[in-house]
Amino acid sequence: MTREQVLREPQAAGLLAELWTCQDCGKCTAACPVARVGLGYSPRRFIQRTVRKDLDAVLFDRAVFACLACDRCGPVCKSGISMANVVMKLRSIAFERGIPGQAAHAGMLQTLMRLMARSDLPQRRLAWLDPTVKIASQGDVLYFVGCAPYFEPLFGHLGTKPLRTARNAIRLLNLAGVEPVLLADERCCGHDLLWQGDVNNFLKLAERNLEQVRASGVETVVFSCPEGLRTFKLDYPRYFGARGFEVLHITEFLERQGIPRPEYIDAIVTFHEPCRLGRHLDVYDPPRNLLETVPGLELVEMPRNRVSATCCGGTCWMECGAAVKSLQARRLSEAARTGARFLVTACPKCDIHFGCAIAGSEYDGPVISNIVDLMAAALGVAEPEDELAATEKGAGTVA
Amino acid sequence: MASSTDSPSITVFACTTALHRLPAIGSNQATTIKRLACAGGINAGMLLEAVEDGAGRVLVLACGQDSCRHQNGATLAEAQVRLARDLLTTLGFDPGTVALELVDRAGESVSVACKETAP
Repeated sequence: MTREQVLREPQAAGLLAELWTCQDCGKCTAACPVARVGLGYSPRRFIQRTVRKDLDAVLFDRAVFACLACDRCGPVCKSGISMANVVMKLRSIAFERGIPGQAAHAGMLQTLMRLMARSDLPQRRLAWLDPTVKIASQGDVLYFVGCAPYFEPLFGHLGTKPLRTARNAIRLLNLAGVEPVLLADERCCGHDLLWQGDVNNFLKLAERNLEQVRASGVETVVFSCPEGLRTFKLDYPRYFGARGFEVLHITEFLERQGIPRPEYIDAIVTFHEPCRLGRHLDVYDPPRNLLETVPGLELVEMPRNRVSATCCGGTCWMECGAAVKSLQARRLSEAARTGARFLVTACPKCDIHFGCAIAGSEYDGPVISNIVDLMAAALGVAEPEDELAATEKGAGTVA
Repeated sequence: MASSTDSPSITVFACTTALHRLPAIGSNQATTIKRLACAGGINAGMLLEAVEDGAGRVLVLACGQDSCRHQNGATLAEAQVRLARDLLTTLGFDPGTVALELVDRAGESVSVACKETAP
């Protein structure tokens, strides 16, 4: 396929115009975490090849899938090019041409997502609820659980507990005076299929989610997964128009709603910025503000934080290889150098990816803890087996 | 993705050795056999993909614990079958869609492992 043919594809609308503004300065490559760990990937070179050469090579090149879409290069680009948008468009073309990239976990996650795109699916996805969480059949606020019921059996062996995080999220909402609505037939948001290039199945998932959320009549949908939030906030409107309801990350919602005063936790923590929450959605302060409400907790930032934070290394369950592992190791080392006891994340996938990186290793760095679990512990509603609740709380007095 | 109407209703992932012990099993219109060097090479993704492709039932055929040439093929296969069943249960499928059958040296089916998972 020639460059002209590719650029005539509907998915590539505006692509050439965007890429022609590239000044070839190389700042993207200097900022790119994947380029830094080697393996020959360079966003600058990728853009130049896309603009100037036969795109056969570009589509068949692994580079189109090597990008993490973390958007680390976006803020430094003087031409305003977003590599994340570029690869999203090119991947959808590649996918249609039968070049789907290398799926991690033998493609199991993608298969699950495609199965979830079916219309006749009597899911049993709320079996994890217990009497300590209060939900409502109707209300103004919906909690979008995401793929936690599927992640739990898949990644529980890594020490991550996505369903515990989901229960803790509901407990925090309960403390904030909200009994959220949950969807019994919620589907995957479609984030990973969209970023893989499988737009058709993404649209099916999006349609089913939007239909259900709108039918529930809620005004606000709260997410503890930044990828779900990004997808609802930025991607659904591109295909389906205005949502008709508000979407917020749980840290944004809790900050706005207000929570009781947490108990004292004597610990240093550092915060790992999820790419989707930070650079993609510009939500930087709410997680930090939430952590600051905990007396005794000291937040020490890593050198690369906020807009310059590096990715946990995983994107849409693809291309998990040496570059990704190297990125994760570097990020964990960076966190350890802060002297923090906890590496706080705000994304279930960051939990999983870091959990995977340290599994079976002699890692003795900060304990990886989702902000939802940490706040639940600080507010005394964490589950009994929660290590944080048992060991760190109440080690001092409230200032 | 194939539709359920034009796909075989049973997909068998079979260890080659176990398959030799059960010569009666063969591919036909309703059964597709996918050979593996060892059933321990199966993963839950392959099982789910078979369901996605329209198989009404997916069977993993492995040698018994004491007759696996690779020592722990049955154990590895069982873990993956359990995982696939857990995921299928959450999806709303009958977990019994996926099953593991162990075959001993004499070619007898010795057990159907993996109890039903609770919904």
